[in-house]
Amino acid sequence: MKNILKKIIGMGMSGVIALSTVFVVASIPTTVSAHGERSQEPFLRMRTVQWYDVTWSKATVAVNEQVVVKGKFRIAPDWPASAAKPDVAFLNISTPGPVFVRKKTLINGVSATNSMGLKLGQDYEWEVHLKARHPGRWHIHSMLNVKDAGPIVGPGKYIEVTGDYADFKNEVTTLTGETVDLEHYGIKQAVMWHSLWAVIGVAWLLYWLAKPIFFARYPVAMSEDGDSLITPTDKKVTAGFLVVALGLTFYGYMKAEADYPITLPLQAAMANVDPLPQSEEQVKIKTETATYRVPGRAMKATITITNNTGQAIKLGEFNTATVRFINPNVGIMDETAKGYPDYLLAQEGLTVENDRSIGPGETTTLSFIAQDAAWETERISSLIYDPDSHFGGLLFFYGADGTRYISNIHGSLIPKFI
Amino acid sequence: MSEAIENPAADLAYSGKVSRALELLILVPVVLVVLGSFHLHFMLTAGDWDFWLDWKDREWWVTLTPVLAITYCGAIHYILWKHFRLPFGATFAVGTLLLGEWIVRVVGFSMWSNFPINMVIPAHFWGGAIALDCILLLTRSLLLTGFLGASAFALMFFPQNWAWLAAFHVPVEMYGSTMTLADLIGFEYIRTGTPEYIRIIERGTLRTFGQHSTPVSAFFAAFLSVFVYIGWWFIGKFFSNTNYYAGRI
Repeated sequence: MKNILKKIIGMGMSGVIALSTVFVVASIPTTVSAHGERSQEPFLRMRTVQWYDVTWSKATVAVNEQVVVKGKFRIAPDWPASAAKPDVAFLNISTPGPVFVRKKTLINGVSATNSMGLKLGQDYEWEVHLKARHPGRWHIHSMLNVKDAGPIVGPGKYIEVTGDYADFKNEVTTLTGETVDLEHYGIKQAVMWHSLWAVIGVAWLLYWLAKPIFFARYPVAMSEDGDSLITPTDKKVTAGFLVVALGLTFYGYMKAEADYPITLPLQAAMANVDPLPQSEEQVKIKTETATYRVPGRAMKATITITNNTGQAIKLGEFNTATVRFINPNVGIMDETAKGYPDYLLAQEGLTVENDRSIGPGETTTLSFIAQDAAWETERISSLIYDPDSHFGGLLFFYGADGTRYISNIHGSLIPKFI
Repeated sequence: MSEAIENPAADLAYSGKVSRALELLILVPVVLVVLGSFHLHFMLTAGDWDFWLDWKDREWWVTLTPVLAITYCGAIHYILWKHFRLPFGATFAVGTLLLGEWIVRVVGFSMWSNFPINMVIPAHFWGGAIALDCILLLTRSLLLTGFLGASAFALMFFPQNWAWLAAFHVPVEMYGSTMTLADLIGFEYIRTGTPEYIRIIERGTLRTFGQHSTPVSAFFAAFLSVFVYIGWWFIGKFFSNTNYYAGRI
């Protein structure tokens, strides 16, 4: 019997060691490369939140230093019917866990700790201040959570965090005048109370486990004389544990009330933010036709433009699903474009047929081709398999004086397979 | 062995040792099964309310958490009490649950995903579970345990956790808004899948009770817990029989 027990215990130990080895190997952290944004359906990325002018203030920061991610987004007027409208939305940031802490977010200068409603066709300027917490190379995306529609991810860029996590501090001063480090606050107290209760609970269990528990009790418990298994001592011990449980609960509550006389319920609310002041769209766009040629990874659109800007303009950029197709003839590779993630930047990806300036007051038809491997690598080309084959995006026109005019473009997209 | 055959007293003692060893061996898979299944059940039902510090609100958390935790307590109470007259089923259930929760919070949430441990401390149920067990033994009645014990389980939930949770409800002013430290921790430590708007849960008329919606929620939880406890007692009864093996052995 003893040999059998030893064998069983030995096998059990071997199993535990094997499982532990698998767990340790599996838990060795590896670089997180992205957040699955490419698996998000193209119609969501093209026709909901159109991110532009997104910048990251630094590419490398030390632990405790801050990096600011900021930019603008336009809520697409052609928001798909199959996704809930952004009546309740929250400006988030996508990081691989809390490797940064979010110290501040603003939308149009208003604190965005709360959720808010956003209006279709309107622009919003936002910024997120992040304080580096864990060393590593982290992919940081802007992100907007839309209630019932899910997260809509913006462009992402790697930020290198140097230093040592042990140096990280996150101190705040409460309204009761106490300065606390959020990183470690309240842990000792919580562990103490959990441990104290666990000791009492385990003592209660051990009182019963010290007795024969199954084989000797079963026949008696199933007989008419089952209650004879409960001894007078059991009743006294039980009454004692009941008093301790009730007493400690009462004491713990009263102590907390005495230690923290000023407490508030959790806070959650909706904020109100007005969109950026916007004049009427000065470059009117009407999509005539749009095709996507699958073998060439190229979208060709023919549009009718009416230039109401008062100066001659040229088409400089087509921006969709965070990919920027740039017209090299316009020369807009400014600082913003230079800092943009390479894999989302098609520097010569926009070709305009008969590329010429469109005069003020002129209405004309124009065709452009947005072509780049990004259609495939960013999985936007899978739009052709969506149940709603419509595309969307922003067109950026530039005047001779450098003024930028932003117009929406959207319409039906016809795939060409040959 | 030959000594045991010749000496009945030694035989009895040896049998006792063997049955004790078997009992302890049985306990190992029992602990693992209860830990795994109760933990899974609780994570799927209480979920975010138990994961996050800034979800432990005064209405839904107080109402839902004890109601969802008393389930296994009822089922295991039936199995252990009916067949063995053992009254520790609730404490055993919540003990295994908390063991599983702490392992996941420390290894999964903190060491793996980098959340500070104070953001993911689980709620505990020790006091209510011990009271539930004690009332079962002292009354030896399903109905009385259902009414008194289940109510105590739910009513004791908030005060026993407030002992460690109150510290996180101290107010702080940030970005022109009033927040609690729990809100602030929830905002600053980024969760991509937990946007702020799903925390907007205080609605309706509980506010007509002024600032005392917690006791109202606790009493409602106690009311629900009575039925859930008794219902799960019968689930324990359903699963603790040998009918499944009929005809197979």
